[in-house]
Amino acid sequence: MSALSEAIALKVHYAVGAPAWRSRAGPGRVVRAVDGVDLQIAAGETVALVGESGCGKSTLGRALLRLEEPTAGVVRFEERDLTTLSAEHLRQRRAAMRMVFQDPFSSLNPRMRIGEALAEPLLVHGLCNSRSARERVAEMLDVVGLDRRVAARYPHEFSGGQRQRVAIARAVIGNPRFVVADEPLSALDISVQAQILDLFADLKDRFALTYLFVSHDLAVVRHVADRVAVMYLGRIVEMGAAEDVFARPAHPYTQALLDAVPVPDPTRERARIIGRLQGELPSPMAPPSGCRFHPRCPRAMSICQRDDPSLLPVASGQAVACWLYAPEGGAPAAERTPVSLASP
Amino acid sequence: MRPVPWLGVLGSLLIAVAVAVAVTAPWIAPAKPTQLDLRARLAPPAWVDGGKSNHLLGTDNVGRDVLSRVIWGSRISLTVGTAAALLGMLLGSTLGLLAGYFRGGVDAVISWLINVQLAFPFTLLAIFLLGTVGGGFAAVVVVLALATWVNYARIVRGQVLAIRERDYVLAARAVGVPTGRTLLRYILPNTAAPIVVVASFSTAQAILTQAALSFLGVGIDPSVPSWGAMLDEGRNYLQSAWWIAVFPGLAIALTVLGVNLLGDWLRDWLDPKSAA
Ligand SMILES: Nc1ncnc2c1ncn2[C@@H]1O[C@H](COP(=O)(O)OP(=O)(O)O)[C@@H](O)[C@H]1O
Ligand SMILES: [Mg+2]
Repeated sequence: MSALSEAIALKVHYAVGAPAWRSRAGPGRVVRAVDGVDLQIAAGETVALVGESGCGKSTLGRALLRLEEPTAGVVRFEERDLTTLSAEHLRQRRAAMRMVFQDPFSSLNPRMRIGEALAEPLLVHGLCNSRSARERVAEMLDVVGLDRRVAARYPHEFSGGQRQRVAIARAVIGNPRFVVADEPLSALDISVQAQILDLFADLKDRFALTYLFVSHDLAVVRHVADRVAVMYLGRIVEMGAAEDVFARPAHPYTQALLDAVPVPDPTRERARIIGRLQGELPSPMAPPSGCRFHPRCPRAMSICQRDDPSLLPVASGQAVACWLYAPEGGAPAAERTPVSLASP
Repeated sequence: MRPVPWLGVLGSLLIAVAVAVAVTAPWIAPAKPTQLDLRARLAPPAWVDGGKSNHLLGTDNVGRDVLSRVIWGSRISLTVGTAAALLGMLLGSTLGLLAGYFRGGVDAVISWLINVQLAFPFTLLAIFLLGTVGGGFAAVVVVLALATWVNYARIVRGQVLAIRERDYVLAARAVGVPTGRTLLRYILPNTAAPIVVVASFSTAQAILTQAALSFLGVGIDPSVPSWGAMLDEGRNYLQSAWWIAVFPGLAIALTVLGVNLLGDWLRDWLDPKSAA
């Protein structure tokens, strides 16, 4: 089956600081936010993208919608290369691919009424005139569980959960096929997270949507995902069917993530993850040599410091980028001996 | 219900009176503004010793009725002030919007223009321009707009640089909103509050600068009464005949106050958060 959305050898690097020619400190530095990712998302599935904060999840999500300029590689949507599309053609493709942002307090224009905001995708893609748009907006408000009369009001009059309903309605109005949801629950109260999650599930059935669902909450992912992609420092380190990844996590990083029993407090949960792993998350400006995870890996071997593993299928069904699973002969036996990380 | 915005009401009232006076000048002015009464030169206001009942606010050095001139003068001051502020707003906001949104080369060129304008002595520019194209209403408005556009351009550019990074601008792009529509519906409305504030003080600045230009003899023909021109004429008589300068000065002060109060209130009113 061909992919609905696809990234091939995708890199997105950000230049930070002054450009090289005007900086005294030498050339400007580069954040390798996404650094070589291959990902295929098939029509109808929900792929969850997980990983620690700062590993490049949002950047990858935006790049799949071509909201970021790829530094290298290709992004395709419905077979078409988005990187070579003209600005106007790309704009037209946006009728079919959308995004829900993390923070519903900043993703809605404070000076636009809810009704106008929801009509916007319909109008800019010429899907209907402003009269029938009003009717479509009212129907969509019903679908997302808001009163039709909220169309006349401004975003600041609503709670986070209600705003996120508006943002979701805006992302699915006009029948898009692909929606990237970037941590759409993490700015919301625990009490409304479940409702919004149900809304995502309901909309997926109703409109036959495909999701890339970015989250750092593994309990949520387990609930919604068909497949899971685990990201670490700009790379996907493990990918596979959700049952497989949760039942038999292969990569030491995935194992560490899953070992952290979900605690209903993201900061504490994060602390537990970090606590179990050795050291800090390295800077994406200077990723470690070899396997990017090796300085924190409890099972690091000498080869891990030198050679970068690629994402390959393993016996349990998923694909993993880890030397532990390299096919026989992939590395000399001597190099597979664990190295001690306690001594420098 | 929010509380009655008394200051806004006061501002609107002041502006309304000024506009009403300007519109009805031919009917409410007791005399022609250019009519000389040589026997009553430098007459003080009516309620002061030596005042004349037919010159309520006194007369100037050639015997023209100060009240009538203040009434007629409102026309030039208000129209020039408003027209210059609006033209400056159009020019400055547009350039600021483009510079802040597109950045890069567009920003470099517009920022250079802003800096040149700020570095260049405006009065010299005004004298040069008005000297070459001649005075007159339209020329003065254009020159005053050239004096005030920088105020708008600088503040709008700064605002837009910040606003373009907001999620809702990215969200607009994600939905497929074209650039022009993004500028007009997502970015410009969010800069409305500072634009209104700049507009209110730029109107005041335009009214005062127009006065200075009349004084330098390059603006609107000084025989046409304007508050600014009267203020300058009256400066020489501040000791002996204070009323020549004080009444037009008061008119300017009250109008400028009205514009500023109105601007303040309009800024609040434009904020959807206060509209609930
Ligand atoms: N516009 C940007 N300019 C520079 N660096 C950025 C930008 N956006 C993200 N980054 C950096 O890229 C890395 C990945 O960020 P992000 O994709 O937001 O990660 P995540 O969503 O997983 O938390 C981080 O180090 C972040 O600081
Ligand atoms: Mg993120």
